[in-house]
Amino acid sequence: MFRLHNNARKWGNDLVKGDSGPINIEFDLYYIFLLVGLGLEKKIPLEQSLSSEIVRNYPKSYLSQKYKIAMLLLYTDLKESGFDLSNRDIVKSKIQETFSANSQNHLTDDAGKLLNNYANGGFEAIRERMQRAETDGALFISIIYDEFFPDLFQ
Amino acid sequence: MKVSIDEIETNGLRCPDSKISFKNRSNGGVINLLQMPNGTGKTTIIKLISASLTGAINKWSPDEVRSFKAKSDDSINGEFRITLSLETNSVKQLTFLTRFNFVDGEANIYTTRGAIGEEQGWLPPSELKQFFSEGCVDVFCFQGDKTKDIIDESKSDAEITIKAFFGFDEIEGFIGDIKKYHRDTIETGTPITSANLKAKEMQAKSWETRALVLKEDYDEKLLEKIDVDKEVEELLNSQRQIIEALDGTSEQETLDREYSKRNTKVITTANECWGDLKNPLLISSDLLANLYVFRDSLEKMKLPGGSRSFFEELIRENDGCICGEELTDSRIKHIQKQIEQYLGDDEANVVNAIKNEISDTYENLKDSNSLGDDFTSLNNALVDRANAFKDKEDYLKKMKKLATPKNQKIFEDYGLVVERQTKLNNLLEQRVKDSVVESSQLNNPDSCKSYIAAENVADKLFEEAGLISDKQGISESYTILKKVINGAKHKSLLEIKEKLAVKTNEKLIESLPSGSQIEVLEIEQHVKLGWNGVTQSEGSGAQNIIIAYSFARSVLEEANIEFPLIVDHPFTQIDRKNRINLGSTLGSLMHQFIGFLIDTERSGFLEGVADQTDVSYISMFSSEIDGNKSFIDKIETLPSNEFLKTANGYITYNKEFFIENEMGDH
Repeated sequence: MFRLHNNARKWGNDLVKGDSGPINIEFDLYYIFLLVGLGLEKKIPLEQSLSSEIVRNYPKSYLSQKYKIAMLLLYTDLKESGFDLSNRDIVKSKIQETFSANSQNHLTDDAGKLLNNYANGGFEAIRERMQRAETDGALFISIIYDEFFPDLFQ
Repeated sequence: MKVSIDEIETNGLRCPDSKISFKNRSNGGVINLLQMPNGTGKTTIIKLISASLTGAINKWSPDEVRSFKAKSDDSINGEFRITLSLETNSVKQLTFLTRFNFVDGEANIYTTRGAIGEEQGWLPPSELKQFFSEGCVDVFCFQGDKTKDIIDESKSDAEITIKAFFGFDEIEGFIGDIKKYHRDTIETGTPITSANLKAKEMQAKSWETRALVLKEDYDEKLLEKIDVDKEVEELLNSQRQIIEALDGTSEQETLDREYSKRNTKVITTANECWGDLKNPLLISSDLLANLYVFRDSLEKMKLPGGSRSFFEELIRENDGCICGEELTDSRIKHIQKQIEQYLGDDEANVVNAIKNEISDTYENLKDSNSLGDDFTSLNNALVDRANAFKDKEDYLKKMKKLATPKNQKIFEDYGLVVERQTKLNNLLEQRVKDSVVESSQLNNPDSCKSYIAAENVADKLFEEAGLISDKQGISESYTILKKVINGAKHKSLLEIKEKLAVKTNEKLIESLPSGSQIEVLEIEQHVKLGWNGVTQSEGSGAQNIIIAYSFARSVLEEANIEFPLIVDHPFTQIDRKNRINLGSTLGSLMHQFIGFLIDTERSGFLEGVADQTDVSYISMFSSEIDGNKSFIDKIETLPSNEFLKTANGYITYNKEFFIENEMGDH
């Protein structure tokens, strides 16, 4: 379900493979892209043919965050679409579009695609300011925090 | 099966002529310690043990064969014999004898299996053949600094070992065979549609050729890497020695230690930041406050509200309304219209779980600024590390300036070789990258730099060619078979790795001092270390050794086979305290331990093994080296049945002689 643009995988390859710091798996990279994409309300459609699935379900270390990530997606997409967050019909319909208890990730297929689009948006936002990924994981997250976090979810 | 080394015998080689018997017993562990002065042939013996077991001797070039010739001996022949005992229900012997002909540069192996007499060739029993591969032997026959290779992130030694021990190499060979069969068959096919089968085959062939070219380049570069890595290590050592001569060791060591400390701090702090970041609700206090408001809004909107399924069931059962009235058609229609407002049970459960998480996070952490504090600490740690790195660099520059012009060149060469090493590593990585080849690149195989990617494209194109030929069925079967085998292989590899990680950790608990904060987090291509989920690239010298031994034991146990542990310089880079600890636990690690050690490794270790009853103390040295005169004088005072004198050396199993005579550099 979780897909990244091939360019994003290439861009972050050395960072994920780096020998120190917290970015150890591709999903770590996806997660950072996602936070930035959601925080900036930036989504870019991800073409199936130019992307690849990095993992089907949440890795073990992210399982406890699946409800929170689902909530952030719902909240961000309602806001980004300009909907009234207090309109019951709209919110209810968005919940139905987004959540699925039958899926391991608690997201419908469409919501999964939407999540990937936000991660792709986050990747492009980061790449605009960082042409090449910093390969030291600690330095990377420090730069992301300083450069992007003040603007997220404003 | 339990495999032990009974004896090795050498004649006319780059080590004293000798027959060394190693202790072994059916129950419990035995430690064999073999001390030899440096330059006597320890490495030669270990190399010969390894190459005899794997049959690699058969592939040696004439120059390689000649490199084993005794320096001061004019003999044109040499021999190396290793005798193993194989224990299942009964004990059988297996002997590999290698005869060297130094004139022609030839080495031939002969095998003796139990009652069967000597046969020419490397012929291990079929049940052992799988384990006598390089990938397997490397795990119990440690040459050089092999212990660190298991945990080195840039190496794949752990995965190579697992693949060799658990039959993955055979599976890969099998996949190769069916791939070849598929391709050969497709080439004999005829088109079933108007599609241009020949063109597709040509395209597939061009990618196959590209994959071969890239693989050849990869193999060549891999050999080059061995030399470059060695050169880097040698130049680094020379650089260290130059600095030591100029300024002693303390400043250099202090700066290295300081940098290492700062780097550890960066990694620890970064992991703390990452731990906080993984809760997405904590990344902004505004976000958390807004989500809490949104949660309240959901409450006010009665979302998820009552259960939709309750009303659906009410209608289905048609047993009257809960108010006691009859459920008429108009009432049912009204209820059906109303329940549209409610969420289904599935969505309702998710919404309730989310609302609870927001409440919990808000109530417990709304005033927390741990993320901000953590990142401030991280930024400080990064600055400290950068400063420590600069101090190291400045010191190196200063030392370089003080060095002689000849030695300055060593500093420069080191920099250049490291640069070459980096480029080579990048290139090797590029060659094996499982990269995606875009459809626009299909007519341009030369643009592909990875043999894995080129091979994948070739395989896909052959499959496509098969599907437009009368060999369609073969292609379809091949695709399914390959998918099933690869899927099963992938899953099994992950399962074995998980099992081995658990087993290795169990052994670490047994062998490391209690309270040691290191464990195997997971096994990827290397053994990934850390503690409480936080990764670290390596442990202390002693920890690294115990991890490598524990991993080796776990692999052997899981594969249901026992081998001796053979180690060259087993205790370098370990402080005295840890040597005592390691010495006292060594007997429980393996059924037969064979360590080739020198004087600098003895302190502490010998005290550690002292209490163990089954220790064999072996001393061996050449009689042709002047520096060994004192050993010769002393050994000649022993009773004649306590030592063996050969044409060019001595060997004794006398414990006191071992303890009293330290052998290292001459």
